[in-house]
Amino acid sequence: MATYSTNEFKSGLKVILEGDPCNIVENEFVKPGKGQAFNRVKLKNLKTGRVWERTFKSGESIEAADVMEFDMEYLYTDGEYWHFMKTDGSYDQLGADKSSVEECIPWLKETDRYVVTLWNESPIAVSPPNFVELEVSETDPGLKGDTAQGGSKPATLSTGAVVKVPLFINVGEVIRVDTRTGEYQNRVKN
Amino acid sequence: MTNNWASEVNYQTLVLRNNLLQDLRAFFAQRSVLEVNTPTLGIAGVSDVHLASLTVPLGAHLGYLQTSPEHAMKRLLANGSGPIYQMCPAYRAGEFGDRHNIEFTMLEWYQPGYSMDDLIAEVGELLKKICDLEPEVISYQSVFELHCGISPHLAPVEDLVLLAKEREIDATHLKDVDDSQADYLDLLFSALVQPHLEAVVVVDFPACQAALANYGVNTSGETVARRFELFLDGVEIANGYDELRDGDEIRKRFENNNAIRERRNLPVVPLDEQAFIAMSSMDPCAGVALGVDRLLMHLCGVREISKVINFARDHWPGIK
Repeated sequence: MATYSTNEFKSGLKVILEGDPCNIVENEFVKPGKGQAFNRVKLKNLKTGRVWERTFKSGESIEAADVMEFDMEYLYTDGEYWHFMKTDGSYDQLGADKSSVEECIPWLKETDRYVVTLWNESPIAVSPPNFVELEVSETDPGLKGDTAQGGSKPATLSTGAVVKVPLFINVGEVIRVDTRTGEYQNRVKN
Repeated sequence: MTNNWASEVNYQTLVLRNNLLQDLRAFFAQRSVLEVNTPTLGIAGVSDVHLASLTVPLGAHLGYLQTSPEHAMKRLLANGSGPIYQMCPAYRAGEFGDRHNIEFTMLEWYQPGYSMDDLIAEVGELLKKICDLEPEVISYQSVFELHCGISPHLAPVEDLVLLAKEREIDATHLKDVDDSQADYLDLLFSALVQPHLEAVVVVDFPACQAALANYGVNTSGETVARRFELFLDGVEIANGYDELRDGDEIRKRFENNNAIRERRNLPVVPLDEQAFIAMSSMDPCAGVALGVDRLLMHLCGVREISKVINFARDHWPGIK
């Protein structure tokens, strides 16, 4: 079993905490003047996405997580699994189950690229790029004369995601969305 | 990064360090404080539970790379050196991070006949000259109460544990620690108080954090450690004492430290008998140790110590 000692901690390191694989986001060595040294560490649980703040006694070791990330192209879903293909030229495919892909489903578009995280070779998380371009499949008709200013309305995108868009957006148009906030960015000329 | 041979310290910082060292020497020369050198390889290490010495095998015994030149300088003081200062490398095993490196430059000075307040005033004058800053002086109790809402001297450890929980400060690293009053105070202080300390001297520490400082009584009648720390930009820069000189008490504190070390499976350190004799025979004095590299970080406006110490990362684990 591979382990990491606190003095090997750095951001990007993958470790196991409470049975779940985590990514170290931030690591700070704290040594009060005459006090006990410890590491204050922010870890992102790779299964749930939650960020934990934990302290570790300096010198303590924790288990390394066999976690790898791959750039993969989304192919299709059969309803039970979502299938992705590696973009490294190997064309290797794998299926991710609903729990790992769930948060990404509103942003999944065929042939787009995603980062698939594997733990012990099984997919545990799929992250979308920061911005995706998706077609509007349903929204109230655009109002003539509306410009970039003014109110907003809900629009359903081809993936099923619902985002707020400006009033001038019409069905069939392609928009750019920030997947971190779920906010409309701009209209994409097509 | 096997070919990472060049220093992370830029030329401008090299010049600033040069100027800082010259300014510090000029400051002490003006005050007729004698510059001294003592061995960085000492005959014993500190017994502080939370300081780890690097050791060097010297045939039949171990040499201890000094975590500060305190013991040797006190041997000079006891021999009538008068006011002395030293700028030297100091070593602390296992300390790596944005503000820590196993080898760093320490400025330590002692003023016989000074009270702690006299020495704090002198630290203030030094800071005025080097950084044009006039730090505010505030008691540990006041600043702790201000940011944590409870008294560091009176609150039982259960209240400290509860406060950490309420403020969502994780304390997993303390779960198996016995006698954790000092540890919880440190945890709360580092998380809730320290970030606010832009240019502050904190005085009169909780008695459980006395190290080699005399005890005293504060205005509300609680026993405190006559110890102070200077903080700049939330970073601890200097630590000073009204120096303990009571031989029995010194021995008691060392033995107590070693007992805790034994309980926690840490190496027990030989008692530095030479230093004991010196400490109990020197004149009353106050002394302070200041991290030169951290002061330089402040002057350069950088947050990483590896940007001011040449080749700091050469010894860092897990980086290369």
